[in-house]
Amino acid sequence: MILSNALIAKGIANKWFSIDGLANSSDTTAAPFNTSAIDLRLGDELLVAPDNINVPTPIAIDLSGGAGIASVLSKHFELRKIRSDQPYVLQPHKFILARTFETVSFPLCETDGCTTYAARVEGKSSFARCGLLVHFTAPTIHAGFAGTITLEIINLGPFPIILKPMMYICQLIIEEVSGNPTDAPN
Amino acid sequence: MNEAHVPIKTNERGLFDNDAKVVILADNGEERSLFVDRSLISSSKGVDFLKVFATTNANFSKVLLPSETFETLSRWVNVPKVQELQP
Repeated sequence: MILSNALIAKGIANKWFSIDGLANSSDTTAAPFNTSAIDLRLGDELLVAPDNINVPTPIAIDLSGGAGIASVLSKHFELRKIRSDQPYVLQPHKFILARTFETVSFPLCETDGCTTYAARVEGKSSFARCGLLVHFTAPTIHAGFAGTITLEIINLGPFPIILKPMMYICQLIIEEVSGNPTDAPN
Repeated sequence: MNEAHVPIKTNERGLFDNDAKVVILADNGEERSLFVDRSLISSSKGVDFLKVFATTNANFSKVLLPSETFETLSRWVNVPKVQELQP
């Protein structure tokens, strides 16, 4: 069951889950609350892979190995701080990582009878028409997650796209988890 | 499930300023690495701990990590000792 904007607000107020840093707009026709989602903003940090990542030694990630993936990502992505007056221009077909400004938390129930929540991060339709993807293949914010949401951003459109901190970049759809997660069933 | 804390073997800078690359030890001695938000890490007596959720059965040895590990792609991991769960 997807939560309405009213239930999202109620959930935040009652600490069913938390979304810290949420924009507080007195204009009820503006973001962040949509009818069944809440809009989140872009943080001020981007991770950019250098254009010459395969020079002088070609880099390949062994997805079956596991242990080295975190090190490869840490080593080769370059952290960029952006500001409103110094935005990042995302060129067509360029892939970056970013984070939401807001921090979310979807705690697991510690008592019987309470409800657990999870969420999905989705793009904004207006940005999608420009070719901007803010996630792909991994939209789920699982029950038990806490932190800022990492966005996998790529520009599939024909034009460079300007990214500024605090711009609304994605939306969060919050859902009730039916039944309480317990021990791993397997 | 209840909140618990597991000891971190290594705690390094992550991708972003507010996250960390941590390694924890599973009960079989294998390492599990993941990126986590720094707010989930606490320190006690020189040891860093990661906040997790622990199952209330099976003597608390199975925990749910805040994000999936690169080695197993799972958020579940068995940790060695119950007494090490609290910072």
